[in-house]
Amino acid sequence: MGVNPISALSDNIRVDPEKCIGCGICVDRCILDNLRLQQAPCAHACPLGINAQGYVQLIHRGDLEGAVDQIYEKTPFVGLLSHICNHPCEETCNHCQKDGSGVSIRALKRYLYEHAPKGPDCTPSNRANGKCAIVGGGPAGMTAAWTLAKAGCDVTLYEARGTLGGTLAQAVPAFRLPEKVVEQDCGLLAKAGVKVYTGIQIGRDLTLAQLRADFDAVFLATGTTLPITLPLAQGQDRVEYALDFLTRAKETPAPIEGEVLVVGGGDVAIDAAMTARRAGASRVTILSLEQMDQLPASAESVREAQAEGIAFQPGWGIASFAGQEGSRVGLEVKQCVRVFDEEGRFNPSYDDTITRTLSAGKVILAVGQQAQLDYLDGTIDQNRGRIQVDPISLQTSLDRVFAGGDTIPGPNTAVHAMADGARAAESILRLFNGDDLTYGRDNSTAFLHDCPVDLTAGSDAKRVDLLVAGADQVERVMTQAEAEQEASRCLNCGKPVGHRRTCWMCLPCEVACPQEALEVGIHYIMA
Amino acid sequence: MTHVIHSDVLILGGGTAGTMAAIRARECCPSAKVVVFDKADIMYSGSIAAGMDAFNVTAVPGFSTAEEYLETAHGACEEIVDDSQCYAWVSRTWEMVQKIESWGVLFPKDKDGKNIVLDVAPKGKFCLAILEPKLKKILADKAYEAGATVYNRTMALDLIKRDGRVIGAIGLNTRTGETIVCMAKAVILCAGGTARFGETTNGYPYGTFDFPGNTGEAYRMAYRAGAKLTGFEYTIVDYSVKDINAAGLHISCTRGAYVVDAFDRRVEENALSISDLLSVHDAGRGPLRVRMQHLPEKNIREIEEILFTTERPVQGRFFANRGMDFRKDDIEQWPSECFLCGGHGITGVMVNGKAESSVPGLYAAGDAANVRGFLPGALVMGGIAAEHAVSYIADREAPAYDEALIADRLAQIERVKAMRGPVSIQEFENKLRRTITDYIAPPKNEYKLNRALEEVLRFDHELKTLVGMTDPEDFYKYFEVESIIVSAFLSAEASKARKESRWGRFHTRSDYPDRDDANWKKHIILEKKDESDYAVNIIYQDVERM
Repeated sequence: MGVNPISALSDNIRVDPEKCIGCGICVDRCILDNLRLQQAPCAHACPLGINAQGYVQLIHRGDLEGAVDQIYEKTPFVGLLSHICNHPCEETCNHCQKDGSGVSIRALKRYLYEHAPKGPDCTPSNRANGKCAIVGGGPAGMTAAWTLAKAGCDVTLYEARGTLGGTLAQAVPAFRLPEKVVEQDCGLLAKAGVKVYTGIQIGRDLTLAQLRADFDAVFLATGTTLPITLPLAQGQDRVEYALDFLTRAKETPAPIEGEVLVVGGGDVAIDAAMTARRAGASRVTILSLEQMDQLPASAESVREAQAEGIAFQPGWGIASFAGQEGSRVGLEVKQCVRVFDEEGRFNPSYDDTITRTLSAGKVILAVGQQAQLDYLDGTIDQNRGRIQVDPISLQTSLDRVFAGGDTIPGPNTAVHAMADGARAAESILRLFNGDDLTYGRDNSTAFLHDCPVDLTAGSDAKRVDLLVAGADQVERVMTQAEAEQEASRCLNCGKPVGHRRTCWMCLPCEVACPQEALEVGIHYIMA
Repeated sequence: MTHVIHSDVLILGGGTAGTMAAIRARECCPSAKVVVFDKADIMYSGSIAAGMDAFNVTAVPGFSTAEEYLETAHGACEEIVDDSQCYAWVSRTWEMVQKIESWGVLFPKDKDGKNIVLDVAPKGKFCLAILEPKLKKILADKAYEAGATVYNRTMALDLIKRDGRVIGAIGLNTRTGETIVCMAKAVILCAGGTARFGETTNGYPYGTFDFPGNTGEAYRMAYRAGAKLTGFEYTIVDYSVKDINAAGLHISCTRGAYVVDAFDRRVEENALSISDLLSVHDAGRGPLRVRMQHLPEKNIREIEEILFTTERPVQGRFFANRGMDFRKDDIEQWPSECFLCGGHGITGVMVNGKAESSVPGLYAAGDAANVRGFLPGALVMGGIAAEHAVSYIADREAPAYDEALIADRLAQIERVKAMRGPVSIQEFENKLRRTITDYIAPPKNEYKLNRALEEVLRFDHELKTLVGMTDPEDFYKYFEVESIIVSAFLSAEASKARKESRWGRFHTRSDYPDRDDANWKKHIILEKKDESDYAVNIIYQDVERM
């Protein structure tokens, strides 16, 4: 096939790496579509599309206000995210290629949260109007409500529990996420004009049909509020599901005596184990199907658990409960030889000949949650216990009804839920404006990925260790010196390039650059 | 699968005219759904890109009237202009100045607080000074504020017509390749002229004088929809800074600079129109140079300030890069490539004073229309188009979507994306534009124009058979090139039809070297004849005088 002859021209776009933060505004403004953003992996990995490179670089350069603005562009919930985000950005960070550890991006966000010179702007615009009902006040519902209210919509949010925050408020332990942080971020909704009704449960206090009649659009974000139950455990005393345990531990904390066995390998299992330990359990063991290197829990929370003296028994599944023995419950476990089948589906298989008998004063089951969708009453298509949606618009099979967060298939993390909320809000705004719900939403061709990285950029400092085992907050806030050191590690990977050689030297890219980092040179052919 | 939306008024192209049309449509009818398709992003798209330093034609109270301008227009267009259309927009230029000034656009004032009027036209003072580097951003912000729905990165591809009326258009997303159909009660075409037309003189395909994003979609779309087009024999060439194709001559000469020829002889002050300068250049006295070494520092600074911040800011670094300084160096000027344009030419969709085309439901403004109105004409006619489009739609029912009307085109778009022929679209465009320069750019003659028409047919065939997408993102350039081919065809036909010479270099026929007012004070109007793109009816229409 032929060669594009103009691609042989030299690039005339010059970028100052000391100033560029990889925000990509220049790419949006280019009227001849010449520019492409070599996107940093951190920004690419963020479900919300937050320019992590941008705020890390601005912290490095001492501009905390500019840094927090980078986050506010996508979400006001800096408090929540800076405490509990599972930070996919850090895992993909190019610094991992340098010394095995990414930049501690979430902790830098936390530093920003503690020191940010200002909060998010809560003033609604008058860009849109329409009446929206948001069902569920977790991260997905909160984000949708915020985005729609800010755009000028009339937003009503219904939350079944007494407070907003969803799982984050209900079950995430305070040693990860203090109550005042939740309260502060949840309070932003009222400031933006969202009408919040707590204690209102869909299916009990109101119906979907009613909401559809009263509102122009409905967003369902009711989460996964029920544990996946193990039939084996039915009727067993001293056995509790993790969600119930964590909720009770927050509402009415009570000391625990004796040994606790937590079954499950995810972050909820670890939260339950650490909570039990902090409540006085003499010994806490986590029993998981997975081997240590396969645990769904993040490496960081495993490390925290180990630092707090929690033991792991990887590669075992429950065979049966052996019943009560005084104040202990006994159970037989069998060796798990494989967790996922050839098609990658969760489908554990066991070697029934290798078994052990264990006992503990209490068993906590952290084997997953499921959505409670009885309220749909068969009106909306479902798929394996979740609501089925269009992946781009999050529209359900029912007109004007959208769904997101843990209610739909996909990763069950807070940051993904927030991204769903933002995505659904965009769809609802399009709906109100009579626009197409999906057209033009895939902007991926504006970005280039897997670009060459300059590993000599950034400092050689080691990642700052913030773990404080057993403390009120398991991760402490960076000092200013630590934040500066950590931010200095950033390789500042992302930057624009003149990709297509169609530059007319008209300069909007340069004028629009908030950092004054870009300069358009004269193509050699005419210089 | 295509996306389908519905609107009251659809505006194709969000440059100067398009943004103003959007603003005005919402002003006239706040409940109207107004959609804008723009190939780029309206914040800076279009020919002005960002700022502007001359509001070229304004009837300024106390200085000049629209009636007086008609005489100037007759001269500037060498008679090929209709009075009622010209009067319609010139008479509303002052109103437009007031309007955009109230939005914060800067019109500099003299020490008495009066607008500064520059002396460029031979008769009467019509050029108002404006110094607004952010003009386009101000317009774009206003369009959003007015409630227009903007679809950026969406290239207008085809008009949709049923029962003799235009009822919508197809858009193509230049990033994702998605298509979107917008049904509309009225469509305003503001998608510019054909700037990527002749081969560039500096060797860089995007180094054109006019905005290189304009590739003749407006002309092709209107032509295919059956609208009358005119002025395609007016193949403009600019006379601008060598190698960078930037303007500056008039800004300098209105502030004391003068022009010298290759023999250091001064070029007369009354011969500074582009057409005159080209004649001097072509007579062997070129290249001409702008000289301002004699000017006081204050004037030179003023010129630099305008050229380097507002007119074409990249010029500053161009001269600095060459170590050039206006205090000691002349600025060499050369002819640009040839191109087609309404705003500073006369090419375009034929419109009347209401911006109506010959097809009901279709309006045109800006470089897409045959209105030699520069920046003010684009703004005013954009607004006029919106006013009349809004009254046209008053009792009109929303047109229903009918996939049968566009199914063939949608299927073709998918085929284009998968084309894997041996020739890149860029190589193809380079050859096409070289051929346009060879056979259509002046001096023209019957033999060359016939060769152009033969070549057009060959290009049409080869585009469909030989081209391959080397980069998956290049699919939309196929349709740009399609528009350049149709523009070339129309230009060759019109140039053949006008058997005289007019407008200096722009339409020099070496076989008919003289201007012949007795027979040719006429518009050459082109209208599609049948299914083929390459069969045209030619209509000769006398110019209209008030």
